[in-house]
Amino acid sequence: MLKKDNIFTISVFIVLLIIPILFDDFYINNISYFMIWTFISLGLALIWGMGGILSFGQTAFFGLAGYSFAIISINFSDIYAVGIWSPILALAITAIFGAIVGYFLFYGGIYDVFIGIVTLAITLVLETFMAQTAGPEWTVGNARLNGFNGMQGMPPIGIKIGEYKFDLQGIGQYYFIVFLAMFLLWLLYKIKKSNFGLILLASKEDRTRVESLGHNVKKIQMITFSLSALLAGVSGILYTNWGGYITPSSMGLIASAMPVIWVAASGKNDFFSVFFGCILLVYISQTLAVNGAQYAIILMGLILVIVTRYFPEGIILMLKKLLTNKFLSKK
Amino acid sequence: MNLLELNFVSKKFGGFTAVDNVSLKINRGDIRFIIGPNGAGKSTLFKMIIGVHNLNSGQVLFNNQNIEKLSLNERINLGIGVKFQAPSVFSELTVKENLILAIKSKFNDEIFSFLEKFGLEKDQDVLAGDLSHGKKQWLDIALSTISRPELVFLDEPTAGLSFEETKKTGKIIQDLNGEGVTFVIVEHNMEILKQIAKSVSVLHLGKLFFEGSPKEVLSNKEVTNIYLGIL
Amino acid sequence: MIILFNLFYQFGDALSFLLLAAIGLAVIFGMMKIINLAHGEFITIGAYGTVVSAKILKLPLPIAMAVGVLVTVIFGYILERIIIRHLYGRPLDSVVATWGISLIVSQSFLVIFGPSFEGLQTPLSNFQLGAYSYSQYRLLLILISISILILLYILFLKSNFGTLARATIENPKIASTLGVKVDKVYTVTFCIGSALAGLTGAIYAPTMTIVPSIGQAFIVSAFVTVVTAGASPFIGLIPAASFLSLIQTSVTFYYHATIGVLALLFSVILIIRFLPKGFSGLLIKLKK
Repeated sequence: MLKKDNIFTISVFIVLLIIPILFDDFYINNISYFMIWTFISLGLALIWGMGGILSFGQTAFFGLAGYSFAIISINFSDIYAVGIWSPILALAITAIFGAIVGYFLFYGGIYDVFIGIVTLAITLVLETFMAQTAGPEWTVGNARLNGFNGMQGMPPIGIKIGEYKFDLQGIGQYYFIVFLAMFLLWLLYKIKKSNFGLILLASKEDRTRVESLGHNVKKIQMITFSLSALLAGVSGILYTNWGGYITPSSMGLIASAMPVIWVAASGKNDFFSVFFGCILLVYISQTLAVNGAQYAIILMGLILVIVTRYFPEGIILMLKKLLTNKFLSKK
Repeated sequence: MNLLELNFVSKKFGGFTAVDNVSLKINRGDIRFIIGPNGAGKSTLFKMIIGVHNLNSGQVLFNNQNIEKLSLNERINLGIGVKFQAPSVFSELTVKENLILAIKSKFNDEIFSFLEKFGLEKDQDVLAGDLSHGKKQWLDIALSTISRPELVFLDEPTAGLSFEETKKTGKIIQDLNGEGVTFVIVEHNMEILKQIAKSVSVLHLGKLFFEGSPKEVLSNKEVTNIYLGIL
Repeated sequence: MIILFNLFYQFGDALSFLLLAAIGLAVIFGMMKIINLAHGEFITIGAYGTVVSAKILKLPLPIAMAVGVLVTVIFGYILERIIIRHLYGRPLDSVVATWGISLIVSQSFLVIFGPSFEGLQTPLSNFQLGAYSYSQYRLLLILISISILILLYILFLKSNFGTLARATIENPKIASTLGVKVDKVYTVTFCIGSALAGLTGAIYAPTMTIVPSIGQAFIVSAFVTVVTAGASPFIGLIPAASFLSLIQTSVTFYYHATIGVLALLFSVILIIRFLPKGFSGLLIKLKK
């Protein structure tokens, strides 16, 4: 059934699908880059918008996945199909780490602001740790961690079958990201409509009442946290693959603020708004950063303050609702 | 056979003993009212049984199984239903979604029959937060009973309800009791007690003060005195 | 003996750092349940205020420090008026908003003052004990951190304002029906928190390289200490900071400063796992 508020989603994806016909590789690569960040944002929207749990440290999972992918790929570059199973293994590591952190948080009875602080502390410590690994003693197998400058030279995602070699780059990477985003958006909507999603939404209002209906809220929050870590990991791996490098600053204080800004400004309660708003905001940041990254960051900070103060629902979601009511409500 | 058995349970908050060595047995099929003046320990006792508060000492047996170490949701899944004092429905979910959450399956006939039983069939797609106070209470009771638990705790199910609404609530509880659900009800409202109680326990200052049939309790002078604040 | 003094010095240095890093954050969190994510930038403002008035206005150091604190308080006051007070009752949103402020401030400093700024000489001299050399100024910091705590304790637990403030925290609605100007209490509390953050920046300014991200050096320590202290930071702050600095000092002593920081985080994770209400929760429990 075609619902009217799906019209935006469908039109945006139609545009995304035909973009490669109209633009050259430079733009395609840039748009790929913008879309890479949507996954970490969707993960945050899942845990924050649906679960009411605000994690400030999603970048910890982003970085962990990126570094894991780099370390595994470099160490096992000779083994068959490393470009396929290395990202999958890195994702598994990230999801498990997410589950462990989630276990400590939710079974430890930590809630509200404290979750933000603990997750932020985790990402900052990871950053600090990676930044001091410049010395030659910091190697994992064949892979130098390389401190502040970060890791590079990892083989890309891809596979070689006989003569054919497929690397996830350029237009292939672009379509892979678009289809992955479509699939994950669909999956997130399914989760939202499922009993699992219902429990999550309800636990945002009253945790004890949900438990008193016989649901294991802690377990569900832990699983959700792990899923959101996984989504952050998808971004981390795609980012590492896209640029061929990963640095500690991707887990730093400024980097970890970005997903929160994108999600808050777009509208944390609607996955599509988050997807679309994230692309838009990363694009704006990139354009402004040409004149110096600090100006882009100041603007993002301003957006965050103004949105929380005046548009707590999120600007993209608000516009989407406005447009839906204006043009599509005559029935 | 006893469905629920409390053996010498106590709960202290700091230096204050809220529940003091209470022992209680609830038979299958009972509608037990727990009454007592404010501060008698009713709500604390109820929260200890379901696991919101830990016990300082004593035992809680449900179907002869020790449950005092289990978490809230684990106790519920043994076949216990709970309604807390203030109506706590999920205001951002629809009535139907609230019930789906409680029954742990997709929309089905059972949900529809409950909607009818509680007179909520026209409100199934309304957000629970937009319901009237009375309907919130009913939805809350529906949430605690729809998974067909053996034992249901209701904390003040008729608070804020009109006379007519109270009568209807009593009727619904009696119907469910007829279908085999045992009830433990914490109440202030004597009207519904007269209407449906099968047995009554009186708490006073954290201790079990009196136990008997509704008639015995209502005609007992000391119980009346407690309520009047003389004792 | 010398080794013992050395350990005491390291421990005291770590302890005063944690206490001073956390104190402003703890006051605002303890009284208003808001985590000020711009706390690090408040410290930055205090540090720059001090260094700029000492270097450019040529003010003597103590007065320069007072200017640093004053600038931070004014900034905190304006912020509370235009943003924070509109977000009371939405704790997560107020935290998010302060994060935006943090970004704006730190990057504005970068734009205005450039990536680094000529710092100040550490005042007072060093003294020698055995093979080690110690800074008198750092010893002074230990004293300062403890005196600040005592002053705060008196302010919040013994003074008239303290009673009003605690009543407001306990129940803002009842306090306001009793005639307490709740808004004012929050504003003053926020300003005290800002002043303390500014003071931390001011007194550490002569010991550090002045960069726009200087506040970040404090922020993790501050968070970690406040989280470990638990819901009532006034009770939990000293035991939390002592415990953490003990761990940090001993790990740093045997291994490495970064490992010390890692040990700090790891112990925090363990503490909140087993003492979810932090040290203040533990103390309250023991008291009963």
